[in-house]
Amino acid sequence: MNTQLNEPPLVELRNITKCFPENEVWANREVSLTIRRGEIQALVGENGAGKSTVMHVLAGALSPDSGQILLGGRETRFEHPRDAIAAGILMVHQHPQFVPELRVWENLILGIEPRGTLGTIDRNAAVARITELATRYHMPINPNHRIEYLASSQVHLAAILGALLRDPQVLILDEPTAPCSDHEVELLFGLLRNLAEQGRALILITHKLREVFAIADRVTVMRHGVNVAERAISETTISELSTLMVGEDCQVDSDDLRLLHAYREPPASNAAPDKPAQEVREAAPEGPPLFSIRNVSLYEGHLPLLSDVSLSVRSGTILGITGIRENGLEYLEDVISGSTIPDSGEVVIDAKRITEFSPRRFRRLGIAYVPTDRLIRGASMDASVQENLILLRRKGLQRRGVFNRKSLDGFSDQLKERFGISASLKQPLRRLSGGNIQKVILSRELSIGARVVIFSEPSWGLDFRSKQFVYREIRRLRDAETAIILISADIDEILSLSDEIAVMFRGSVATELRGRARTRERIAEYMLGLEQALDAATDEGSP
Amino acid sequence: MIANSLGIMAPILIAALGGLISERAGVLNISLEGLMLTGAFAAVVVTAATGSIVLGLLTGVLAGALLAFMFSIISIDFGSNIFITGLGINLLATGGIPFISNQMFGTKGVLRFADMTLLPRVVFPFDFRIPLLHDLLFGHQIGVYLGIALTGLVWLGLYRTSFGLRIRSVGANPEALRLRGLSPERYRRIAIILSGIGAGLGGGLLALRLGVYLPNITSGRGWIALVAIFLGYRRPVGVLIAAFVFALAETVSMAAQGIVAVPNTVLLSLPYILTVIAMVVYSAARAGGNRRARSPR
Repeated sequence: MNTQLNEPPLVELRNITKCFPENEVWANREVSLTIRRGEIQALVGENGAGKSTVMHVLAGALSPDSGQILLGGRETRFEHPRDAIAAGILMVHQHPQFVPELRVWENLILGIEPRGTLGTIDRNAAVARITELATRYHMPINPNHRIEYLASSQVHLAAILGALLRDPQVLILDEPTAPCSDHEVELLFGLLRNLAEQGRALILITHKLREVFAIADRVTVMRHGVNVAERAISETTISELSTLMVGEDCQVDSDDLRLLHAYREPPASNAAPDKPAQEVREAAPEGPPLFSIRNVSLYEGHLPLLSDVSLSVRSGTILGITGIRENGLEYLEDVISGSTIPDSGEVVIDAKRITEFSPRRFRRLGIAYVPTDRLIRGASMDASVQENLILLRRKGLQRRGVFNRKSLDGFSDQLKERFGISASLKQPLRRLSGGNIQKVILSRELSIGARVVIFSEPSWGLDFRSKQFVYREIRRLRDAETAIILISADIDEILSLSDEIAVMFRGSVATELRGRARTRERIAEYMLGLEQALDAATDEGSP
Repeated sequence: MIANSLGIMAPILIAALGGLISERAGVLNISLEGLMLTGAFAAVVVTAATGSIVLGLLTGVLAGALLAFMFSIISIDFGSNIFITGLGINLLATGGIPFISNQMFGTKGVLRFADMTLLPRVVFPFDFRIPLLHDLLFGHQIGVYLGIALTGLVWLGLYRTSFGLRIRSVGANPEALRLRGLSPERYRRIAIILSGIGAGLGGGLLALRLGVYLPNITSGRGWIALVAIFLGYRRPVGVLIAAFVFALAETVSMAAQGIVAVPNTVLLSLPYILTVIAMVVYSAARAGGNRRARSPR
């Protein structure tokens, strides 16, 4: 650390606020950050904590609703990435933007092409410059390869190389190690140290705390769009950071859940976060699993999205599946709902293999699905409430192949009343609140007489009352001997509802927790991939 | 026959080269037909008025460029769908030209002017007498040489200049340009205008070859140019070959009239049938791919 405290910071962000109206969330609320020369700063937080948003603001890719950016003490505005680039601020995005069919060198010099005779691109100069930089920083990048044939870790390294070509003063790296092998991570960290020693400022967005301790000088923790803590790396610990990242029960944003717990259950177990959550069934019901997936793997090219995942759920139990987004939850959702056929492994119900069945046949077998993506996958937004409700039902509603108005209204009114949908049947779904849309989807899915119900993020964007309703409904289904799969990145939700909890990390099941093993901290550690360190330290095998 | 085909090829080729640039920039310009028609009209009128082929062609180019600029404003700045916009430009040309023609000359039909200057044949200061090669290389109208020269120029521009790199990049991933501090809109706009220039020039050459303006003089050549872009695998030399194949088909179908026992109407539609077949084959070749995922994510 060669930070001089009397030197004005290179860049300062003050009270950056950004709201995405379409999501109705504050992506950033009054976030302030200081960026100093020669320092490696880590920005940690769960997905959706607002790390990338604030960095996009700094890189000129997003304009903030309010707040200031100070360059060397002087206020400035970035209207376009070019303004930030001109100020020496470059960001390597989590998904680097390249033109896949072009070669590495063409992608890297795009915008700063060296010109030769007749105004044509001086290809030799470009390749020489890239090769020189790649050699200096030990990057195994061949400038003549096409981007589309590179492994994703190489794509990332190429993107970093592209940023270095532009000689940045501030280099922002968004999850650069995600696709990297251990060796590549070492290489990258060596590079980062080298750059910091040259006096550049580096910002590393990550949620891997081990990396923070390996490389960063300072760490800033974000949660729910707010900058919650800033620490020098020597003054903090992994457990402090992971608590700060995931949050404790007494935090503002879990108020709704606490209220809900108070309403449903004795609040005692909620006070201490390290105790198992309420409603623990120490003895899980025995019996053969009703629905399971076995050794499921899914690839995108050579990149594994899911590797060898096996999970099962019995009637009358709730299997919670959690993890940080981009660790495979969404692909698991696709496989168990029949939306995607896995590359290997199988999906089984009643000992019957249904891996290749269509989503329609999944439903016929009594597998209902309440998807994360309600607006596109879950419902037809331009169709009316009634049309959405009857999508899965024909029996008893038609007479000679034509829908019977009376039976339709009877059926829909019944669902509407039972699920408390407060909207007229003729209203297009688009006009409804998020809670009511979710109720429509829920009632439609349950109208098939489901034996297995898959919920993915069932409470996203719902207000307190609707959440309460959804949770009550999930518990009621469980008590009616339905097998429930609950996919959720919300630890509180998972803890308060599930009988068994599977934690996903990098496309695999990191652990399955039952009974007293299900503590917030253990889940958080497995989510963040800290289990190896922890298992070694406490010598406590996972169940 | 080859010489004749080359003459037919030139306007299609030049329009297709312009269209190729905008297609590579991510804007499939379906208004090539209308732009060609506009170029043809403007070129004939100005050539007749000034007696200068050069001025006539330049006006054709300008007319195409202006109309394409309008296309770019509607599609880029107002954010309208490019296909609807292209369709609108086509309709504007087919409806607007008879209107202007009527205002200026009192007719919506054929425009034939006295003492019309025709496109000159290029005379080289040297020559040689190898029968086949001679016919292939010499004695063509200026458009043929222009078209081949432009093929080389477009190739050079697309693959060897930073402008071409940006054009190819904006078509594949506009966000890549934006994040590198460049403006995707700017490059798209330039590409659209270039397609207008190509189509305007192509239309001008087409009309000045005949020395008259006929309603629907392009008779689908703009659409054929559009197909040639894809059939030529979106590459300049490929476009040259594709344009030649279409021109050859047209020559053959005209020559075969009265010789082959096939109705003329069928023969004359040969290039269009070829277009449809080419498009189907092209689409079939591109289809396939990953059928594993049932729902996109």
